[in-house]
Amino acid sequence: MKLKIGFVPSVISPSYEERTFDTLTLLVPKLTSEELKQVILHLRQQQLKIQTRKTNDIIDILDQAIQLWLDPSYHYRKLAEELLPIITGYDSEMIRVFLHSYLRSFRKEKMQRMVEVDFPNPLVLDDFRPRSSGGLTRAYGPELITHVFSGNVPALPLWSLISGLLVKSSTLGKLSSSEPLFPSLFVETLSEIDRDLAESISIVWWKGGEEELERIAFSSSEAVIAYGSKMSIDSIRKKVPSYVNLHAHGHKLSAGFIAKDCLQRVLVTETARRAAKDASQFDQQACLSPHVFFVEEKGNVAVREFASLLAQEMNNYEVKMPRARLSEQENQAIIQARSTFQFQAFQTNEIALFESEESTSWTVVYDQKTNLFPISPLNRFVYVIPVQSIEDVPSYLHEVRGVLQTFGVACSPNHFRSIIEVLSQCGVNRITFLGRMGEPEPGWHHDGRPHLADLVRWVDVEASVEIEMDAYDPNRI
Amino acid sequence: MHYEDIKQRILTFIEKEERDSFNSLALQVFTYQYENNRIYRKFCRSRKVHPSMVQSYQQIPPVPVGAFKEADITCTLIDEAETYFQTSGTTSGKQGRNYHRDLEVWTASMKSHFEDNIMKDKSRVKMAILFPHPKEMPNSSLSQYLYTAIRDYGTEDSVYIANNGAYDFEKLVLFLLESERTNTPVYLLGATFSFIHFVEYMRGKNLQFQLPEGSRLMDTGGSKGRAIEMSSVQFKQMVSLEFTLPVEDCVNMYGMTELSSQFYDQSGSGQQKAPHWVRTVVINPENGLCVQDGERGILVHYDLANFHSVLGVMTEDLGISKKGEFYLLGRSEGAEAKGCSLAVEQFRNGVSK
Repeated sequence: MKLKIGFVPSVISPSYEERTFDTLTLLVPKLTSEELKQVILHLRQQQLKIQTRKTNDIIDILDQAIQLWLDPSYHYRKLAEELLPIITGYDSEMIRVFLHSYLRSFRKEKMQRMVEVDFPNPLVLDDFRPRSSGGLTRAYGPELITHVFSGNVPALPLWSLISGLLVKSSTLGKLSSSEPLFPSLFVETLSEIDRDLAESISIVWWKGGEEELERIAFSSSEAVIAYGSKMSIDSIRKKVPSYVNLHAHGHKLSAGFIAKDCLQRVLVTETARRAAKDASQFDQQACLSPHVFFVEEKGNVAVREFASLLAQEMNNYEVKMPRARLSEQENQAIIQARSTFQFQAFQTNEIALFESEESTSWTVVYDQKTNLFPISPLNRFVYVIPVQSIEDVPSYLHEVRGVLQTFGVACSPNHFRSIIEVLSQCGVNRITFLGRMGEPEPGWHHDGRPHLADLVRWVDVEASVEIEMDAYDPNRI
Repeated sequence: MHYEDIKQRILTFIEKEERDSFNSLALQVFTYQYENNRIYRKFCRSRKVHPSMVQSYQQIPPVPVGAFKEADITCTLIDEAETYFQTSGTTSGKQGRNYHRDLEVWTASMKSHFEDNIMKDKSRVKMAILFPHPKEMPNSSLSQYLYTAIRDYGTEDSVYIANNGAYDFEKLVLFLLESERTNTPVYLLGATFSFIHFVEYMRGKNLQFQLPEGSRLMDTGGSKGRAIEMSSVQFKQMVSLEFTLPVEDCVNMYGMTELSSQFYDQSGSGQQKAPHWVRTVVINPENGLCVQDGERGILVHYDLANFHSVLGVMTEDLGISKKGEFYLLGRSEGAEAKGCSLAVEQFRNGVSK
């Protein structure tokens, strides 16, 4: 099957490059420098049009698109559900379940919340509004944002795409090579609803690192939002001029903490199930996927036994939603890590290995010996480290402080406050209940920063203008 | 089975191939190792494999090379071992050891295959070794290999170029000039990167050599991770040009500390010639099963000479098997996962900087 994707204005007719995923060939628009310049010019003109819209109206249009996508029989939704498993290798059921809950988090109320979290008076996005301290103020989104989308989790680009639209910026989206489909389809939906709004978006592709195109795109933008590995972020950082704001989301590490109250006999299976979900969803490819669970000792169930329960639940998840097929290198990374722990386990009972039989599908390593944050080779490979209490956790996090993101915690009301206080001191910026790690709530501070407030430029009109101009009023008395 | 007994059988097999007995000997070696290698026995039990269940050598559980870094995988009491060879441990910092109760089989294996592939019909040749002597690197299997070569196949005027951790390239230049002058064929044996450095040195001094007919060059180790990286084909072309040697006389040796035999690539195609006491299978790392002929996978070597530790070793090397021959495609490093997370090495490197 062949499918043309991307979204470019009719002012250009670019060439398309084939990207093949198994039985599927996607044609992605590959622009010349000249075409890119034309596209940027076009996006700027379109931005002038959407600049006059009210944020609420934009939300209404986006909501219409989301409503369409929430309908399982909607043609693009069906197409995405059919093709994303081929493109990403992820299990189709996992994608289907995720898409639905993910799309729900962009309903009208959720988008309104996104806006109001950052702007207590959202009208500042539409007009100059009075400040309590005097004068007026208004928030302007960037004229043009270049988005460097990531492809590790399908549909993830929707976050930054919608953020840009909510602050009325035009969008130049650079597709990820590993998942170029979703953003293209979503913009097609927008163009069915509101041509003008869709025309403020262009979705194109180039090979990451392409000098000339990146230079043009970055220097013509007022902001660049980029997701990717440390290497690609570093390379982008070098090319973004100092006057352009770069919002970089590099690789991050996440983990979990399970308090002993959650190891009670009646609840422990549920706890293990939740942990297995977090460690299995999207094959651990998301920045919010856990590498390790720190589990409190002296519960009803020993931590080692919990590790084996977790292993059973990892197996259950694998039966329901099998992991993607891996490259030789990815498999090799798992085999290497497994053999390291297996041969250590032969010599000490402080280490235990639980693994899927005759496959690399899932692995649980119980490690009482380490004093470092263990970094997983991913693809459903998770560590369990026993701790005496939450107070033991900071020593493991110290080394990775700068790259910590999400913590999934399982705890009772008795201890929750001390847990969140300890974790937030360590550099964690998102705490969620176990089993929810993969689904951040609307309005979250991604990597600890506001989503929308970080994008805008404020224009303050000081009180002096209001006061002093009266002296020049031709109708003064 | 007793130690001496199994050793003699392997030595006999190395000396004289009886084609159909590789499998039966492999099963005997496996039983010996299962009984005498405590760690390996645990590994087999975790794989639910017992010698009584195994009919074919492919069913013998291969040990991943990385495991040598974590445990002493040996059939011998460590105190009774004559020596051990140790990996360089360049990436993880941890070093793996392969213990040898004695070097009889190791030496027989090395010599038999070396004679067939490097010496051909010659008995002794003038050699230059571009690698340290075992006095300097007592636990390097490569050092022992090259020492065996020069000791048993080198003429008296053969030389070591490396001394006290430094390469004496002037000495090598004199050695080569002498060979040209007297029209004496020479063998240059050593690490790939030493040759690369020497060629740099030659180029800096505008030198080029025309080695007499019958000369050969053998490199090993590759250049990956070194200051100058090049493919095996590029390397062969380079040395063939600089020393005026026919490409077929530039041979690459592929070996590893965790094994007791070597492979030779004569053609530069990546096709590795194994001795008859080694069988290589290509497996799919996802499930550990053998792949179809011609499909890529991870190489697993079954080396009868490696009877002091384990005969099956799962490498980190990618390869293809075609009609009984196998081709080395390069190392499969635990590559950076595609996801939004940090690769271990990358991260730890970042922290240590």
